[in-house]
Amino acid sequence: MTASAMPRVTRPPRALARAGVVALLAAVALGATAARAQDARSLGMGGVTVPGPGAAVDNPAFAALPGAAGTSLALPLGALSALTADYWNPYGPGFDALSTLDQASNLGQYLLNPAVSPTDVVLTVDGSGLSVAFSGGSALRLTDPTSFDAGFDLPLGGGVGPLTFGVRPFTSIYAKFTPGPDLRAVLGSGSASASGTLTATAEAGVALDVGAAVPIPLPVDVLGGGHLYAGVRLSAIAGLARGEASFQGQAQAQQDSSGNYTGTVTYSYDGTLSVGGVMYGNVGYGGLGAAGVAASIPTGVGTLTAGLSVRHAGVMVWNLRQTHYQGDQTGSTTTDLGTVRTIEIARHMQVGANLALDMGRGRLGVPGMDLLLAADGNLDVSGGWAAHAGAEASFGPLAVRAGVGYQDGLRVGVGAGVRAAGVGLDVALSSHRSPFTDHQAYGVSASLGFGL
Amino acid sequence: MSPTGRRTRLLLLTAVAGLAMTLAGCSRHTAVTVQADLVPFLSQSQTQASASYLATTGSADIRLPFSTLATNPGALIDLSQLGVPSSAFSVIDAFGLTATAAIDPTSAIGPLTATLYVADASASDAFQAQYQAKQVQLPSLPAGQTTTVIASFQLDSQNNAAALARIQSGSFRLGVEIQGSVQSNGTATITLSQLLVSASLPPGWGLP
Repeated sequence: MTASAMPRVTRPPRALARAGVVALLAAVALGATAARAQDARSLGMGGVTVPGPGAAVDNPAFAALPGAAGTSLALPLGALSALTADYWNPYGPGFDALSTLDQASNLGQYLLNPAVSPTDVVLTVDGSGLSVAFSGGSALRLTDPTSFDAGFDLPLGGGVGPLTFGVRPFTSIYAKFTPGPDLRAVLGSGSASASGTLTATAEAGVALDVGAAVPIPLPVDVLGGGHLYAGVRLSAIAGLARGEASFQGQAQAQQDSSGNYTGTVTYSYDGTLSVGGVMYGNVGYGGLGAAGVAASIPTGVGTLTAGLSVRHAGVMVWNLRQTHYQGDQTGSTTTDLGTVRTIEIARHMQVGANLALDMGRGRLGVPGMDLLLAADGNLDVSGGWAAHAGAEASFGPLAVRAGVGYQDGLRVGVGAGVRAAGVGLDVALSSHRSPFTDHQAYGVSASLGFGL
Repeated sequence: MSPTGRRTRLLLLTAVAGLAMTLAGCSRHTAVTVQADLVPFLSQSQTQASASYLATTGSADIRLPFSTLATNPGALIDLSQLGVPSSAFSVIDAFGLTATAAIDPTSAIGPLTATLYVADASASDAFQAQYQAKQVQLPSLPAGQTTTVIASFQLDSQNNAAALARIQSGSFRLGVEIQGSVQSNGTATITLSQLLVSASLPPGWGLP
């Protein structure tokens, strides 16, 4: 057969659509690689943030601490799974939504054992009401409030003296499902009713940051000869896109006065969906601020560095196109509420504290070893919290690390690193609790450091 | 639509709502099974009955559930009235029914044969040989004792293609007949404690 006689090969539209979806997922995966995500050094220490100029995004006062600011770039090893694992492809035989979600929200790590969807789901309706049982796969965590949080935050910029300037594109996705107590029974012995609330927010924008950090003069005998620093950062935010959803639903199997089922089931739902952004001809705007103090204090066992900060404090204003959905067993209504201005005040505000003890060389009877201990804690206004603690032992250019923490579940990590000529390479093996499950996933991560 | 049909429809709608929730953890390897025990939704007259049997006929013949037998021997459990689109049945790749009943005969009944019937919804008499989907053998019932009889049927496309095809069409009725030989006259009280129907959806169901 000659080349001209060969049948023309064309990809059917469905195949093109599939390829497009896969390409989109890959693009999202790469784009969502969190440059600000915890780097391999932090992950190897249980997720702890070590005070220093490189952590100024968490506490503006850290920019004034001595040491090189440096830049640590977390490599998107998780994106490699798009090449090695088939759970990404929604049209492939191995597609797994839970694995995809787990890996996509941890793109800085190549997950060795991402969460896996259940192999069997059995829905039973009987005299106890409705019950759901899962088997196989990762244990789903549906009886307690559960949330999903993923973000992309890329700070770019530099500084002049005590001032720093930067531009910071960001995206974030946050979703939270709160089951009603009756839904917990559905997942247990069964219940005649079920209810739950789902809220979700996704947004993207650009922040223009201006910061300043300076040492605060102190009398010599205060802080034992140590130093105090203060810093602030103001950010002007241009919101490019935002979507919000809030839905509440419930179902009830009716019973008569004797407790027998009548066979009647009532249900209702109520929720709003709000969208806005440049695609609708408007942008969000607002300002956020961060402030912090830090102290460096010499002690008998080394240099103690402490920090306290408040961040994400401010206001965002959005003009969102809002639609109200309401319905029950008798019918449903959809109401276009038009453009609604929403003002969000400090919804993501966090308070953080950091501690680090640089014990210097030769401690614990190990010649030539530098030992660093660090711990941090964060509390946000929504009630979420996180805490981490870790240690790093350095032997010249080499370092080994270990740590433990709690951040949406237990985290543990071990790692190692090497530094030479201002460039560093860090690797870590760490774990986290996968979204919506009790599954503990382990992943490998790597970071490149510059200007160290 | 009959009250039973309406109740069953609402019952299954509840299950479908639960199914939507569980799809949050979907994958190509997740199999979903929906099962419902219909007994809590039946009246006492449909789940309890007494019957006499004669040695001259040579066998005792019990058809479940009772009320449908009393009012219309050809009308069984009519799953075509669920209100769920018939296309929803087309994805079922396995179907099961388990009937659990306590039987208290005054004289012994020989080895039992339980037969599941899956009839077209339009069939005038569903208990016909052409609608027999599956038979299972059960032990004898001794006289003067309450014995729990569990008749469990599993249908799949490999072994029960015709019956499963009727179910996949979405227009069908179900019934169970339990027969046993008798040597002397007697009566029996039958209490249906469970009538569990289950449908298995293939892994990856619902995904494009």
